[in-house]
Amino acid sequence: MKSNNNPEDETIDSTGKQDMNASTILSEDENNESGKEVSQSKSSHPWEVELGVYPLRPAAEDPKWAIRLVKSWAVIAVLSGIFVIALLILGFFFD
Amino acid sequence: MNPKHIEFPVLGAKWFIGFTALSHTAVASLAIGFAFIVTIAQIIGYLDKDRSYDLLAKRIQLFHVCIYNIGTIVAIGLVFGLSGLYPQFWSQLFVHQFWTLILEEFLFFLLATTLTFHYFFWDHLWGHKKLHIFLGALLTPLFLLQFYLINGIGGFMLTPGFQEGQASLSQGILGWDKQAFYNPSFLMLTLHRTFANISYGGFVVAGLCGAMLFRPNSGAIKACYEKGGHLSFAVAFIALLSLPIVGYFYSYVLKYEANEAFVNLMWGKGDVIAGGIDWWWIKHLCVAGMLGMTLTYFWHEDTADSRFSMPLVMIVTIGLFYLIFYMSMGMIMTWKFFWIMLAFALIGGLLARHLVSFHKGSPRALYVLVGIISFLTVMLGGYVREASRPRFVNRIAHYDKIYTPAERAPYLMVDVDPRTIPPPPEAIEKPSLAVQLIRQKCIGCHTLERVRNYRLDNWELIVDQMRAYGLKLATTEAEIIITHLREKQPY
Repeated sequence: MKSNNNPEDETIDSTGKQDMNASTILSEDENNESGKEVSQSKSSHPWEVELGVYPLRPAAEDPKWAIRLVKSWAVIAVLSGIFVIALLILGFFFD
Repeated sequence: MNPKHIEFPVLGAKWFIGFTALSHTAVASLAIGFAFIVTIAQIIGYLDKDRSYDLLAKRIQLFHVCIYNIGTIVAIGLVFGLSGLYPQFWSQLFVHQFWTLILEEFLFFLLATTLTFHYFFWDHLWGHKKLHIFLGALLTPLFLLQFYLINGIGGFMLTPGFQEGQASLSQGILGWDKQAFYNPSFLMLTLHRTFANISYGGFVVAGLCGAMLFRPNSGAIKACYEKGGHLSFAVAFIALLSLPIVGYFYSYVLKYEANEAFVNLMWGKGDVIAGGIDWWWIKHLCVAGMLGMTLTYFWHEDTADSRFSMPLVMIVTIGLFYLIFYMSMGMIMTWKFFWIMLAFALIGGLLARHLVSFHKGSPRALYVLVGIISFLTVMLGGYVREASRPRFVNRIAHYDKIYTPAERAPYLMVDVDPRTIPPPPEAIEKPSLAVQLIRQKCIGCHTLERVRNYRLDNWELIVDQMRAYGLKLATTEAEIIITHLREKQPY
């Protein structure tokens, strides 16, 4: 039961990706007028300009504060989860 | 002056609590399924370097952030409602399982923060995608822990258990009660709720993708929603595999540990029937129809280029498990139940084929329909579960025995004279031992209708035959049953 794409969608390849230049997609700084024109001419859906590539970027470009915050929170969440599990295990043996 | 109850206008206390609880269930039950699918989609997107999965995951997580807030606010409404409308019940439950509920609150905080960070740091962590996926992946086990905790209390209200467990009802156990928490139905409730919620979340995500496929988007966008719909549909379908097995053992536990709830469900008694409709049946009609649709969908799926196609063995296994499950239900309830379930599954299958061919191969309408039906299933399941059990309290009730005013008076904000508290409600008349034995033992193999339709009076011979067939029955139990049947007493 695979769906049939509409005939007007023939410009889209089988993976559903559009043949777009990555430079029109990656960052807001690069989202210039020509990029907007391309996206508007194709479709008004905001995902159109993002679908083409998987926008990984160098780790160094990620904001340091965000990385520190998320790493800290991940550690807190994992330790908290272990703490709750430990309490439940202890609660099973001691009433 | 006698204490007055607060009455909720129009709905009344009971239906207000029921309405609020179901509203909470509608959104809270989506959480674990959403979290699980978001992680799966993110991992696939990362491995395939396919942005469409990541965009879908982000959209689902946005939806999740919104509904999590709504679900939490409704849960607070439920707590407020219980505090005002059933004060003795709620305060006692809180005192009884204080540390469990405090841990539950702690997990709410962890989950809300993790969920918020996961969504709002999406674009900040493109260079640390694995860290971001790991953060999202933490949500599923944390939700499992939250389930675990609340199910200890939910299960206790259905099956308080025997011996030490029942002591909870007559002694002042404070803060943590192991026997009450690890009650007989705790494990089955946890397993059933976990897999059912993953299934529900998956079908709802597929339904949302299906709805988006009705919009006039380009092929790329449609392909994106089709991928998301198919992935979610597959996750939901796999989760369905466990439900008849868990459901069987769940009903087995209820049969012996909450016989009244079991009888209410199986033979349509008490609040399970509302407005003249047996909602337990309606719930199973929904499940059977949904099953027929999903089995047909995966059976006829074109597997040539499908990433998440189902192996035939899994489709057949799910179909057989449900068939056996409904056969055993048919034995306990009526065979009419079994045949109607089968009919609905077949109608569901035919409808699925029609919907897909009508939309020229697109499963969008099927996704939407199954999403709606899974919502109804969860709502009805939640309703009948609570409606089937004996009332745990009847407003101000026997729970006051535990809350000893003399000891607790210094801490009470309201001075309550114990003499003004109404007596506990009359105990629900428990069926005699003979009736309990007949209900529990006979329905292991056949319906009670079959017993009732038997016209001869040679019960000794019949019971001996049943024991020869393998029925485990002590001689004294057999004598009790034979005497009851011979005297043509109701059961």
